[in-house]
Amino acid sequence: MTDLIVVKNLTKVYRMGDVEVHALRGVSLTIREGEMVAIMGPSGSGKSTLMNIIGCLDQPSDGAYNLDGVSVADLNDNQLAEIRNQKIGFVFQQYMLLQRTTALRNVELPMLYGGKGGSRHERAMAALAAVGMDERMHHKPNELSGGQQQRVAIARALVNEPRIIMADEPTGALDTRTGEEIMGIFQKLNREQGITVILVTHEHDVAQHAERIISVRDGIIAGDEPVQGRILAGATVAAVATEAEAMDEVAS
Amino acid sequence: MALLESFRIAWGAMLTHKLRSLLTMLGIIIGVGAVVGMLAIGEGYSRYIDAEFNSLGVGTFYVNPSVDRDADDETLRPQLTAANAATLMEPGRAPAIDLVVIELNRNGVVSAGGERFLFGVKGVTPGFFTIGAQELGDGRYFTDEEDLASARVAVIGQNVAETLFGGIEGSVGQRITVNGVQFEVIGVSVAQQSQISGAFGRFSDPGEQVYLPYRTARDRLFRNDVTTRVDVSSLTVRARDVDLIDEAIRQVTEVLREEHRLTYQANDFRITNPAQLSAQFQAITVGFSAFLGTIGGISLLVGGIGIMNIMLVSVAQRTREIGLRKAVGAKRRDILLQFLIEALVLCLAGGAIGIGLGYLLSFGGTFVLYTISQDPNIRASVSLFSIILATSISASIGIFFGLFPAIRAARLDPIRALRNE
Repeated sequence: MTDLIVVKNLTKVYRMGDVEVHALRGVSLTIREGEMVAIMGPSGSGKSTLMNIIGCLDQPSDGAYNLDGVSVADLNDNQLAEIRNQKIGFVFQQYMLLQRTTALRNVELPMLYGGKGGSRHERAMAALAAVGMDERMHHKPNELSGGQQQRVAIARALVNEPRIIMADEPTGALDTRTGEEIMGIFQKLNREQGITVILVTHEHDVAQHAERIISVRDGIIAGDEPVQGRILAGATVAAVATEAEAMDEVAS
Repeated sequence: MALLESFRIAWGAMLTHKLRSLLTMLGIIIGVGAVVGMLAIGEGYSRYIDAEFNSLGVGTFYVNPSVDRDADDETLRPQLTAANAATLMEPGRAPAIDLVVIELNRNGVVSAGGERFLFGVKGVTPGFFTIGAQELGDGRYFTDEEDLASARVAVIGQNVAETLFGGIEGSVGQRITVNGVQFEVIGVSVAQQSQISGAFGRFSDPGEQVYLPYRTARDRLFRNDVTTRVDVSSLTVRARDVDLIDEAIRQVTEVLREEHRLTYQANDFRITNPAQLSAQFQAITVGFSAFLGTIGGISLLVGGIGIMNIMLVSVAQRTREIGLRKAVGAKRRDILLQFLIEALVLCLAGGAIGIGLGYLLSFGGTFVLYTISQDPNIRASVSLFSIILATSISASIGIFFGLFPAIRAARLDPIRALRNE
């Protein structure tokens, strides 16, 4: 497997008034293609900063970041946007769906800013099908449960066939069982499509779904080791989907 | 990002906040409405004035025997005669003119055998009936020969015909007396009174007149009422061409001064040029337009600021959406364009409603114009030009006032935008 993400001596300094905040103080790590990695750490540890830089939302103050052979530190705003569009899919804790827009339109959003060809509609529907949401593509977010909204968000992250999915506390707003279903989807995407998945979390249970846990503390990497006793979200995506439907039927 | 998609989003955003959008657009609506209405009514009024002056006769002006009261020379007395009219028409004297009409205006006791009525009596040369908006209801006008022969023929106005004979029908061929002299009615005039003729002291309603050949009136009716200095009420002079009117006035002045043997003295006649008055009337249009234009301009400015304000609110409310769009690959340009198009759509929608308002104003204007002109052809109509103008103004406002909020949105840092609560 090739090295997808290579980070060397990354530092990030924020200036808050007169005070300089060192969010990252020299982080080096390598993530290979197809890995499922969890970045853990308490709030204020610098894990969000690290995620933002890896996700090309932010630039490091110093150090080198190589993503898929491209030196990210040299890119301008537009090139960063293009990388985010083409190579990275984001999943957020708060789903971040456009409220007045159907699931289908939400999933089509990244394709508005650059797509890989083919019909937007069909590709969005395929992405929704991959997360078991094809039946509800015309629903708006407020007509969907939290778990369903997060699935739509995952479909949106998938639609441009990214190399990496970055999930920032993806189960943070969900109950345990729904969270488990969502983790199952990530594991399936990682296993079957070979998409590199980076989870950012402070929950140990969530991190245990990855193959490798990178711990960040005080702006440096405090630990980087394979997961012992990895949790495999038992159900396949299909099963999860049926289960979700069954739950909905009970609910309605 | 596809432009069409931006327009779709903008349209959706506008419909989502219908009331807010409408209130935001109000300034644009009023501004565009005022501008469109102004152009429509101004154009209609201008056409009305043109029509009114055309009804007085295109390229004509008047000469009256009249002395400026402020003149220092108290010995100067008014002078104007039929002989002057003849001189003016002599070849080579005033080449810029092609017609001089003599009018002698008096009142007379008119009767058809029974009751006697007081009507206006106009002695005119036949050229009178070729100037302005003349219309014959029945019969014919009199001829030059009849004028030269002092023939006892009359053309009567509509009201005269109704008073004497109960209608136009059957009037022709009847006999009437004017101040005891017998005349044969040969025609009935149905000319309408011009709205602005009063501006020239011509308050007489053409329907209330008895028209006689000038020489008949002078020699047979008012012989004791004319002098060798003044035997006409006015001369109506027509220039060979509308553009020659100033030249014609100059030539007529020169000829008359020569004939009246004036050297250093002021004129003992007065020339009135309706075209000058027309210009004054048109100036009213300009003033009116400036007034509505100012209202429109201020409304558009206020409307533009309203648009800017609401777009800033919209950017603030949708900070997270902007962050998300950036996270999934929107470039600055995409965000800029999206918000710019939103402002544009707001303004264009406001402009469209404003054009509708302009139509309403123009209907109102048409009603008013019709009320004063009684002419269905005089209407305030919204022109294609004003629609294009209104649309471009709206679009410019959208772009101008939408630019700042859009730049602000485009410059948002995606991380902070995503965190925004």
